[in-house]
Amino acid sequence: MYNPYIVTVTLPPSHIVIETPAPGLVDGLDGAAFDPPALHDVHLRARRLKLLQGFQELLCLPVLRNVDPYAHQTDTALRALRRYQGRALLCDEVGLGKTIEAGMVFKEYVLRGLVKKALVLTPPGLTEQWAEEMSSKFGLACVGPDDEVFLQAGGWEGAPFVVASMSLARRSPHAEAITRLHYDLVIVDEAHRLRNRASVSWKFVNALDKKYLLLLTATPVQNDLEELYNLVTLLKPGQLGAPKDFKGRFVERGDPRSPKNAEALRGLLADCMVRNTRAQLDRRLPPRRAYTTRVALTAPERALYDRVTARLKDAAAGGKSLSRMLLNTLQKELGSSPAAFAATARSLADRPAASARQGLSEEWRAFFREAAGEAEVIKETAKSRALAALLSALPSSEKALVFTGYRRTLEDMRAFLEARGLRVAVYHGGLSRAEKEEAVRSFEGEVPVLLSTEAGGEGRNLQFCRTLVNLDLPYNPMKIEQRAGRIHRIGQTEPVTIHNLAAENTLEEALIRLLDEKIHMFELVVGEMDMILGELEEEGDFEDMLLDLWWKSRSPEEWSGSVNALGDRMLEAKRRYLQAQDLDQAVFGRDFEAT
Amino acid sequence: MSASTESTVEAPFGASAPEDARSWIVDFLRESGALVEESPEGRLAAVLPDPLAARLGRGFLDLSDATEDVLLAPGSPFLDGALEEAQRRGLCARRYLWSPLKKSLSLEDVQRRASFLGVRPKGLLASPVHTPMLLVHFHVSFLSDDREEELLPVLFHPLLGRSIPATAYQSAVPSDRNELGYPERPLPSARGTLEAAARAAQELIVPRREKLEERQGRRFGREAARVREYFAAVRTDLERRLTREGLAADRRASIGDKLKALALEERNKLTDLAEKHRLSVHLTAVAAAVLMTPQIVGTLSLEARGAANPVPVEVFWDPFLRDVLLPSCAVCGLEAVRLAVCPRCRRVLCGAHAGDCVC
Repeated sequence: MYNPYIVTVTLPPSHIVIETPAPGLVDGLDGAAFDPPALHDVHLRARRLKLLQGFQELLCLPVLRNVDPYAHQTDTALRALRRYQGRALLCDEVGLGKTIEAGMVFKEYVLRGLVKKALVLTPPGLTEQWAEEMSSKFGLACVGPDDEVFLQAGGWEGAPFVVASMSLARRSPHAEAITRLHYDLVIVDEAHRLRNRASVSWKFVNALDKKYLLLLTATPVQNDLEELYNLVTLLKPGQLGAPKDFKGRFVERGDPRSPKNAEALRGLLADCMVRNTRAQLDRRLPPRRAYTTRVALTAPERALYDRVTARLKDAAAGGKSLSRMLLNTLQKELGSSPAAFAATARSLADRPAASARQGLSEEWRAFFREAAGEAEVIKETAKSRALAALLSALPSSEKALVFTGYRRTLEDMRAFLEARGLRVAVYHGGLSRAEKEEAVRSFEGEVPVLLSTEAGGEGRNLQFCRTLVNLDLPYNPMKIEQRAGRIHRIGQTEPVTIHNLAAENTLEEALIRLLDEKIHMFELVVGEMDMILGELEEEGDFEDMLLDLWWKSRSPEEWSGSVNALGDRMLEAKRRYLQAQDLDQAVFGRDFEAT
Repeated sequence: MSASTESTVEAPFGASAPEDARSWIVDFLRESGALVEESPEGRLAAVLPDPLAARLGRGFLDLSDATEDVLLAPGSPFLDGALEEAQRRGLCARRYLWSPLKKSLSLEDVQRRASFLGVRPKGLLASPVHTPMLLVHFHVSFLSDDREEELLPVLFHPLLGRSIPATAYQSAVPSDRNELGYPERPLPSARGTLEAAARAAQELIVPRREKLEERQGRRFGREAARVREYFAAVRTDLERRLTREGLAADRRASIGDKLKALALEERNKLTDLAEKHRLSVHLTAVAAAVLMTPQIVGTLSLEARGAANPVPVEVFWDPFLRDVLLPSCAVCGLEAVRLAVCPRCRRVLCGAHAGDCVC
């Protein structure tokens, strides 16, 4: 009987294309303009070198930069390519490198000419990190919708590789533009956000015209098994049957978190899912302990901090006299050291171009001139004394990696320590490659201290060191993790100690209180912080969230109340994450490992 | 005499392993005019000529430095640049194959290979020539959800208009000039010859193509069945709701809309799947070597029934195949082992197409 809703689609016959001969071939033959036979031979050998033969081996491995993939990552990439044919759920536990695995698949497809257009969808706070990682590790030039090059390349239609936040991509008019296009590859990070089939995000990803799809999440099941069903249905509709069949066959009646017919379910999931676990990979890192050293600012520092902060807060409350970006920058520099603040303040005061760019009034310039002068005379800070004391207390054989976010702070600290007879090496983005090599080499050798900025040894093995000092803290917890990850990573055999220096009654102290004392961030596994922040209901950077509260609070009491409320939300987010982790462990166990 | 054409006909050249890239780059740089020095210990240094240095972004190469090995890893920008550079245009070369012809071609030789339909061989005039055989290399890409490639050599006889097995030529000894002194036959129009060679290439890849089509069919079938089953289950559920008694008209319309949307979504998913699994084969002629081959050409006079004059057709004796090459059928392009001639246009036909000339 005819049913208008039944669809028939068959595999079209093969498409055979005889392309125009390579340029010059016809003319060369007709004109008897022959090349030397040896050149012809070299040409053919070049062609053979470039031939691609299935996915027997990964072509991308030799061209990866600043990354040395582990066996489980290579195996996962191969499995996603060969067995799952580019549609896979990558569910490794946090910290095992799902991004690396997805990057390898992405690069492999690009090298083989199978992906020419790709879209990476991430939470808002991770877009830059993804773009940076794809570029620095895989040589994949990804752009974001806010980048100038995105528009230059022709926007959604023209830009070949785009990293965008899900919240932006699914909104009009972007969603309409994106769903009109064909993507060879779509990657969704933190894909547990697609667990609800009725959500805008799920429908948006479902509507994308895509050939390959990678969904990345450490917690595919958070509340009930239907979430897993929804993820798998995006990848392979029907793999777990129709919704009703799934419920009937695989979910215990009355308990949506408990699977029944677990073996059969695992059998079906094995066709699209990889989940590597720490237990299997024996990647349990030695513990890390964090200590916060609270220091009382010296009188001149205190006076400077309070005076400048009060003025900046007034400006924030008053509207547009200083941009939010400038306010944030100055406040963060002030928290790092007087020297870091002085450099910017001096530039704003004395360089007309800089102050004009910020639209500063003469009054502001005068303020910055005065504040810079005040900061420049502070040669000895409370943190520098505390650092010197801390380093002196370390055993002579112990190495210490000291981080700061600011080059000025680094230079100041270097001068301070060297004046006290301590040998230090420095590492920052302004050094040449050879100088960086030399800095790391001397730190591994005779020099006990490496002073480093954020650029410090990304991708380098510094596991010979087990003490890390944060002179100041980045406001983005991911960056704090990256710092810790320099020494607390696979290959580290000793417990790692992290010392955080925080000045009392400052914004930084509140940051430490939230991250360390409230949710014990420094004891979490690398990657878990990401998950917790992802659980927060707010869609925005943690840094923006915290600084917003800072600028809005008009009294210490108000500030303290806001921080406590944020801390409670983070604690709840952590609880939810840990609950999801337990559930995932119960559902999947160790049945989906790649190696 | 220079290097053997063995390497030209079917060079044993491994996959893209680093050592292969290394030996290739040395040869490529030398051929491109670079000054290359390689010590017996394997220390290798090269100074690149300016234009090449500009294109590759390096003027000097010291491959004794282990850190430079990454330059030669598959997919590295330097190696890719060099490979691109080497393939910037199609290359064509000419070689003379060395094989003095010790025998001549007789009518009996032809009669041993061929039988005749409606024509009678009358006489044969034979003489040695250098025939321009064309060895065309096609880059063949098989694209589906995967990508496989091969470099396919096709040895094409332009004067007979068909390919012949390349393997027999692997032992041929090449030379840069016509040392045997036989007269040379010209190469017909390159475009037409390459097009005919591409058609021959298509035939040669049939076994691999069919194998891949089967694989893709299996993959599509498996995935499509799963998708259909899923949508069928959802559809059945919706249709069941439609049959409920007392269903309000607006509810009925809403379910109808859902069914339409479901059918559209299913069609989209299946079309995506079909596109993903459909095999697409791309052939490009990337290099050609004219192999001037000593052959005996014989002009065979065929007397056709009712024709006033005999029809001359050319046959060749090939020293590498050690066999007679008969003309090709104007209909199927295959060798006309049972030789016939079209009474109207006098084209050669095979026994199977004796009555079906294209004229």
